[in-house]
Amino acid sequence: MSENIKIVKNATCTFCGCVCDDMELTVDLDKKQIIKAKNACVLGRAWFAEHTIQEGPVALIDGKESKLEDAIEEAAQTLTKAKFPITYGLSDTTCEAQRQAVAITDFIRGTIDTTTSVCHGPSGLAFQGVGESTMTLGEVKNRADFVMYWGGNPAESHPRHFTRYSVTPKGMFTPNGKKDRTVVLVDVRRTASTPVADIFLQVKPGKDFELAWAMRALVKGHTVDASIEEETGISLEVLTDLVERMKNCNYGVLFMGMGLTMTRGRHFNSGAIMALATDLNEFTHFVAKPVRGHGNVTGADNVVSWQTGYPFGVNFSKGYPRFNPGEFTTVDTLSRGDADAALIIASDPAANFPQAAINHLHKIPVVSFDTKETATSQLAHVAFRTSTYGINTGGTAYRMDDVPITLRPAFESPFPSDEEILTALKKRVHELVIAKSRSQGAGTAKVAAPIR
Amino acid sequence: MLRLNLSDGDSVRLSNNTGEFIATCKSKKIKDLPTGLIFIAYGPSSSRLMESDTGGSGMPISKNLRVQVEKVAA
Repeated sequence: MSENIKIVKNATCTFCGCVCDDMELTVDLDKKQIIKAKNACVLGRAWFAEHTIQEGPVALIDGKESKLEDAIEEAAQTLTKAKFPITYGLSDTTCEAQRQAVAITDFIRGTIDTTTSVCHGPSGLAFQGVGESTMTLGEVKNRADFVMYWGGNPAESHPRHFTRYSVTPKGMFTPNGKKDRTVVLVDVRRTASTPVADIFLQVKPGKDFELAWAMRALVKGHTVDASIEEETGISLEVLTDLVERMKNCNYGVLFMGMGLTMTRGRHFNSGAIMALATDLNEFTHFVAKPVRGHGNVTGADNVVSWQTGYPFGVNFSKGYPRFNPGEFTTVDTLSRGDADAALIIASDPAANFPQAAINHLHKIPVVSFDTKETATSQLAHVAFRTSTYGINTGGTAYRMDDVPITLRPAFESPFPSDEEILTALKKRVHELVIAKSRSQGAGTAKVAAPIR
Repeated sequence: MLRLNLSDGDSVRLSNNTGEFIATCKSKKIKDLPTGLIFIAYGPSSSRLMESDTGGSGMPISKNLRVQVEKVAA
């Protein structure tokens, strides 16, 4: 260890949607490396340990090292020449960078979508359809005495969700921590989270909607046939007992995992859970909330919403934002072959999209932003290497309960931030759009106002 | 795995109408992973089995995929 050590208190881990802001980081400034991350979970420790500074060019064009300015010019030319450019990703960068990406997409009349569409996008659709009885995680910590996880495995995906917010922490009205809470888990299989639960419901695969709807019926006092066990795997006796516990708790919370959104039923599953929470408010206080994955995917929803009016899957081709999941969401625009250029920021669709979408990504020019080499950056026409948000750059990230948190960087990176490159790219794109507009006979009144 | 005469470490081809890939078997107790269910992590392998149709939602079905299981030589 060198003698040039810095301690960063109250730093934020941006690995997952918990966005824990109580990190104490020990930083070796000579080696530009975080050597200890106090309070971090196993995922957070890996996140901080693995984000060291790796030698490499700041930009590549067709795999060859490029100057940053040349790469920005090439990216701007690529995006402005396209007829159906798409912007995607944004869940692992700051809100400030997300804002620039929205502006670029607006200028090029493109389509912007975030990883939400393959995460809790269906929950977003359900939210628009049935509404959401919601809360902050601070409320859960201090008040919730009934906690239900449906379709998720937080012990492995969000390790501190249990210990910081929902199961073991001692709160104002839950002074005995877990002893004051009933914890229920619903999943198709036993996971590392199962031992934490007081009640485990092993639902049949693809039967989440049926189970939630039966619970709604019981909450409302309707008769449910005993055949519900054959349908869902859960007996009427167990369901009746569970619903009574829910109606009689002081503060209940339903956490929704992607076991609901990625399977048959999608937004109907999430909608059933949100409606169940709302139904239960006839008896007690009950809330529902998606458990979000990436560190700032919630910020992406918020930024795209306050900039365009819609959370994801937004198209600007007519000069104003239009929202249509299934048409303007990225799996669809790629799989159908609509997109003819892609701006991919802080995500790796080439590694986890359906094969048809990945195949199309190989056919079109891609501009990628990432802190490391990825499957997407490897196929990119222009690939930017950027610094890591929350470790090298400050800014804002939203916790999964829509609470914005200011990031405290640990050490400087030689690579620019996403926001810095996107801001430069936006400026150049704007210049090209204006030049194109004027060359087609438009007066100054027809082009966008000067940008800041 | 018993039904298909499979053991830990065996290679199987998982396939459906969309694609296929080769995986290595690791057993679980039936109470943990019910008969007829296979768990694989989300990523490049599962992508090969995911259809691109999102049903108008933007979300491809990424869990509860029906697959054929076939033992292959390692």
